[in-house]
Amino acid sequence: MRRAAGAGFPLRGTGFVIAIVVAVTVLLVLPVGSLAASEPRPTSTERAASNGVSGSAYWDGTNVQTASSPSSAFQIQFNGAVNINYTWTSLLSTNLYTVNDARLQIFYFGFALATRDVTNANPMPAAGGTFTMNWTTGPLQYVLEGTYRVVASLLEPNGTTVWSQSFWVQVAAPFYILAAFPIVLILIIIYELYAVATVGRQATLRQTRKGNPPAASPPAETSPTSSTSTTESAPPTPPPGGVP
Amino acid sequence: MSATSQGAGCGVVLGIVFVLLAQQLAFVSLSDLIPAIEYLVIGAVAGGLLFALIGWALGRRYLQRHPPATEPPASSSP
Repeated sequence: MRRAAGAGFPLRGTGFVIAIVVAVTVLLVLPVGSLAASEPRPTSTERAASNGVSGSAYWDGTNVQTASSPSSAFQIQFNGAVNINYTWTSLLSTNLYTVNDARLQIFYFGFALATRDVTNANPMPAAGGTFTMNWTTGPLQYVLEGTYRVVASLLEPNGTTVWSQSFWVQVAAPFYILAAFPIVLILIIIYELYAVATVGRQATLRQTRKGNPPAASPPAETSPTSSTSTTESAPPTPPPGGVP
Repeated sequence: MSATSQGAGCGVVLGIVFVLLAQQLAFVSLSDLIPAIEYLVIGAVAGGLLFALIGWALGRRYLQRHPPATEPPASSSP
């Protein structure tokens, strides 16, 4: 007969301790932070100088180079809008470029979460130019907040990027949590913490439902042996009252 | 499912959720894929281990507070 749930704890505890030691060893041996540290972070020096174009972008009058790290990110309030002015010039006045698109992309997990473009319908080859973009996070501001990497870029009609620059913005929700995603995350945390707090009782109840009562022995009418004997074979003694 | 494994499962979810919430509260940046995945894996593993330990301890304490009753003798009735 299977014993109560507590009887399995010593063996499980031994295996669990071994698992912890192995996992911690793996965690310590693996250079976890080395990839993040050695990863060449895109910075404000990401200009496309090889293309012969020098550009800059101004976030409400401030050069985006000043927000080249998450700690110096631009602040965006809920429902806030910003003006971004792109300016580009050719390094050689004899080289003319046709720039028809100023793009702004916000990145999350390495993928563009949102893209905003300002295009010129009739681009002409020139040695310089400007674009003005009025940008908000749009519906995302009701869902997400936090610090995000943003890339401002200028493109030619064939899709070639002639200049790009990364900077950081911090989208702030009221009271820091009043966006949909943080609220959902907090609700999940509360639910999981409740599940952990009642883990002993739940495990006991689960085993009881499976027919392995961890605590007291089951009553006679619910014990597996008695039910089996009544369904598979005749009762050992006839009931009182005279069955023929 | 034992209390330990249930605690580990909750801990994995909690570790991932904590990382995502830390990003939302501007403590961590998840804009780039490689560190973001690293943070999530670290959170899941650390949360799983920590809460497996907590689940194991809580399950054990529950059984100590609600000790299993002794089974009645099987041949008590003829």
